[in-house]
Amino acid sequence: MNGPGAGNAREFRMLLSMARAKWPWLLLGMACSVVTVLANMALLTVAAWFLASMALAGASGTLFNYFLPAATIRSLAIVRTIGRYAERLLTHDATLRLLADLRVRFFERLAPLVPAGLGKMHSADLFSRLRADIDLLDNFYLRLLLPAGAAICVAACGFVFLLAFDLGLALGVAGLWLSAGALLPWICLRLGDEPGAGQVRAASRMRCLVVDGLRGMEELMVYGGQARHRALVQEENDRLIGHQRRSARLESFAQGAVGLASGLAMWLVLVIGMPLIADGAWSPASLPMLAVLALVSFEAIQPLPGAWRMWGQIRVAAARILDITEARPPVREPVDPAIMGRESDLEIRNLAFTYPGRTETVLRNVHLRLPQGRRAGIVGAAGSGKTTLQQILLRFWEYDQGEIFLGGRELRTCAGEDVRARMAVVSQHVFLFNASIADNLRLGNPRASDAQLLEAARTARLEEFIVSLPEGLQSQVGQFGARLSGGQARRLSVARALLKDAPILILDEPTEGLDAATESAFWQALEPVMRGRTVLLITHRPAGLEYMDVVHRLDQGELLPAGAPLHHL
Amino acid sequence: MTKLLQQLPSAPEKWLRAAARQVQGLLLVAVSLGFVAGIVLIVQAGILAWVVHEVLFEGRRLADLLVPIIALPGLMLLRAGLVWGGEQLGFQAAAQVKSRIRMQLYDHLQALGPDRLRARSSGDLAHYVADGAEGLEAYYSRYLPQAAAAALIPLAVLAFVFPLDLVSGLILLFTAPFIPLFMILIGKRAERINQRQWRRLASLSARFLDSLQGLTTLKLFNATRREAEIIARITDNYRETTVSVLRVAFLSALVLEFLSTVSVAVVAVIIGFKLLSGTMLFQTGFFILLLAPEFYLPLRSLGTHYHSRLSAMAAAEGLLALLAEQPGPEKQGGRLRPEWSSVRLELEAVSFRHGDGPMVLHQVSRSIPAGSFAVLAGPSGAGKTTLLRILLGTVAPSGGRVLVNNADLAEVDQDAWLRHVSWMPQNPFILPGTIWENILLNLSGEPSADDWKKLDAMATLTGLDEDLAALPDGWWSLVEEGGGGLSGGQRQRLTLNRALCKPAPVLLLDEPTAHLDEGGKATVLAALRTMAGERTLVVASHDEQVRNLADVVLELGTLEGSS
Repeated sequence: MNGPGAGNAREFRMLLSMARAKWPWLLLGMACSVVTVLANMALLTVAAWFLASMALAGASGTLFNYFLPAATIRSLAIVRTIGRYAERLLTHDATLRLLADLRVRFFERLAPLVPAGLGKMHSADLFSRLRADIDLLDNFYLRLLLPAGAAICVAACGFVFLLAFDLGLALGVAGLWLSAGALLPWICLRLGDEPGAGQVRAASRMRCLVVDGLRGMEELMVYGGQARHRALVQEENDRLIGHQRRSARLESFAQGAVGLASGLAMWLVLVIGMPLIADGAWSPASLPMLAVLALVSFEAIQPLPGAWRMWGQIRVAAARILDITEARPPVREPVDPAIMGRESDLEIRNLAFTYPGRTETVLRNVHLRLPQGRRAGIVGAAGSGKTTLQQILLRFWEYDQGEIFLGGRELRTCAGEDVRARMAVVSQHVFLFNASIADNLRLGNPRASDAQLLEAARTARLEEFIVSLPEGLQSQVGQFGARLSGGQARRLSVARALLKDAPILILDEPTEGLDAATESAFWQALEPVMRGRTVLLITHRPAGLEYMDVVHRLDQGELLPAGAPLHHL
Repeated sequence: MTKLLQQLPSAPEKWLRAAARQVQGLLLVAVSLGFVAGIVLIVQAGILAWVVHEVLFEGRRLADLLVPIIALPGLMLLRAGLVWGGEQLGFQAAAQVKSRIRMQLYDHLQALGPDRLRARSSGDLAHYVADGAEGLEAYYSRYLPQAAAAALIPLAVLAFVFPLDLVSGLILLFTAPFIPLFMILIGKRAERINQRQWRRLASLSARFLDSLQGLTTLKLFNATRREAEIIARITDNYRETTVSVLRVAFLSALVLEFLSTVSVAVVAVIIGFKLLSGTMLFQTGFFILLLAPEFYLPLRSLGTHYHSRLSAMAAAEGLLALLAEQPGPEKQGGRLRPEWSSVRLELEAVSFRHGDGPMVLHQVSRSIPAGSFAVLAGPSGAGKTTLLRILLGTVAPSGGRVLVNNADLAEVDQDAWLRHVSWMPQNPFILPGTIWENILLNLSGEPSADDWKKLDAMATLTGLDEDLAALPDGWWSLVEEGGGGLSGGQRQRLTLNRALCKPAPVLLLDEPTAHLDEGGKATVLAALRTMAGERTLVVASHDEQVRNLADVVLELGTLEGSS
């Protein structure tokens, strides 16, 4: 068939190699499809020949053995029916399995890219890739590749059969097959590429806009932005429909053109066959037989042009998936990660960091020694690099210079998961999943019992609230925890971190959003939890610093010596 | 036979049909073109049968049959044009309906308002708007025209076959009703599975979007592998139901295929014997053989597109349920459309609880004079944010009322009231775009010179000007979804600017000093101080320094009992 151009080779290869595990099933399905189409062709061809022969025998009064053709016609009907069913079930099942595997692989490849490797990608765009784009790929196998393969096989059989009658006819009909099955799909592929690609992109952009319009509804209402946002959605909808219209125009053209080609093939049989019959070169019954064969031989070709117009959509969907699955993670995992012990002393030597693509240095010359079980506070103004430092420790970003040792092992030699397993974090921005309180807490420890959940909640001063709810731990928190107050969400995230039970505790503004009374109660409750753990408190406020053994100040990316006076903050 | 199909239209089907009425003209023309194309095909078959007959039995040559031989390609061309036109119009009709339903859904969601949707997943809802509407396309562009073709073309074929051969006509006539019959029998089952499938897809969407948004958090807890397993499980589950839907759909296709192919085979054999006995002309027999597959083709295609009907109905069911949801009392609003330049707020025994949950606000009464600086204080969870939303009018109180310049807020039209209010929530919405777009959310096109003046003035007042200087493109710097790329403090100042740039007499601010360092906080407090007097400020905060600025302090009680 029409191999896609060189620019599409990457996507084409991916789609082919993706199917590696299921090739036997797909090919078997294709074989069934070939059998089905051939059975139908044979059925009508034999029937036409049978009718002509019977009529001729009737007219001339000769004998005709009608048992064999009549039985053939009936058995072909059954072969066709079963073949069609088997083909559909085989190919659909195999394809759906491929897509399910791809979805999981997509998610697994995505994880290492977060949060540093994704750039400015909208979550709804990612979501479009994970769901709609992957769903779209089944068309490649079910509508492009396998039908094309089947059409080639059917055409080859038909060509050999026609060759037995007349070379010119065989070449002529093959020419029409090629026009309808190769040239027309190629035209559809070229002309359909842009609207197809446009459809995938417009649909994704529209999902982003709708998600924004829902999530930002309150603000858009208050600030009068609803009308403008609606106009954007409408515009994207119109763009999507415009692309679809161009694509549909192509499809209906292809539908008409294939019908025309099959008619012309039949016509060719008449024009070439009539003189041959007059000459006696053909038996008379051949004429209706070949005319019908020419007509029905287009069954396999008929869906191709319309299907190949979808290549643009498929190509872009595949490319959008490859963008994720082939992206280079920002943090390179060691091939042979160091084995880590329980030791939790932390040492930073001469660390410097600049965000990729930026010029200003965020951290420079950072030294910190935090022996096991000790607690350090890092204070600094907003934008001084506190959160960056925390994310570097978690192996979310690769650092340019310097070294970080955890339990004596350089972080770059350790697996990211091992590093994160040793750190529990309460970070500045809490994300809660749209699930129950219990589900959100169990993120810290999937095996924790309800009693353990409540105990952690008690430490974080959340137990009373949970118990007051009619459904207790099973209460749903809503999207982004919308049913909880800011302070409750924060405390839930604290309880979640406590459940993780890691030797190092990183607290990034843990009491932001809590009132003074709750805040001091929180620190008192946390005191026993901090005992025996290595603690790093990152904050811009003095609260909690009294629980630290040592306080450092982060100023313009530089960590200044311990014990800087607090009133300078 | 479509009568059978038209029996018992369910609610979604009625809705789909009603929507079709608006594009009736287009669909009618599409169906007519398809019907004419079908007639052309019959004529084409007749000419073919006649030509072959003449050659085989009358000994005619090519030269004798030039007229039909030349006419055939002409008919084929005509037919190609008709098919092309019919398909085009079918798409056109579908596109119109789809587009209208999509925007109707979007508007409906906006009309439901934030409070109704707070607990819903935007992944689920976005799926309805984007993909739900898309799922209706095939119903209009394929199923409806095909259903009409399935009723018309077989009748036309029968009209030709019956006068020629009674037996063949009867075979066709009596096998045909089995096709829609089986389709309905199998379809009933498929319908149920399909609806389940659609609901699964919607919840799958919700789950995926949630997981993707929380990916950093998942990673923090080394839970991505666990989540991947869950995703594997739910996709596998989804795959299984898809296959079970398909199995039923393929089964109906199998029955159709079997009936039509066997009927064609039987017709062929019967005609064969008539030809052998000489009771029928070859021309007639061959013509009937050519027509028999065409008789079943529209019915078989209907079988294929019956699946589109099922999917559309499953989608429509979900869409209908969504459209049936009513906005809360806060959205119904009143008829008052006042224009106030200053606003005095009065709370009269305002109470609030979520459903049957614990009481969050209990009989709060207080007066907030115009131009005053009011602070809502109280422990976390005491209902500060809820009270702000009640004042904002996006949440209706469970008891009591809010008076605005002596008018009951419930009597005031929501849009009219919102024009008077600025609002800064704790988790602000930041849309992907430039900084200025995020501040002037209502602006399409670029800001005017006046807008720039206002933007610059407010930025200086709140300290945002320093953030802008640090960003690569100043006002034109692009921020990511949710404000990624900005520090907590920058984000806070951005949304504060949004609130201040709107010339609203009421400012409702939720923890405006959170995420700010001491210097940033001092600047913001100074900015707020200048606002008080000309605007009415209601600020939820537990910050002592904010409280010190207050003219009015509302101490909200502790009901959840933070010790």
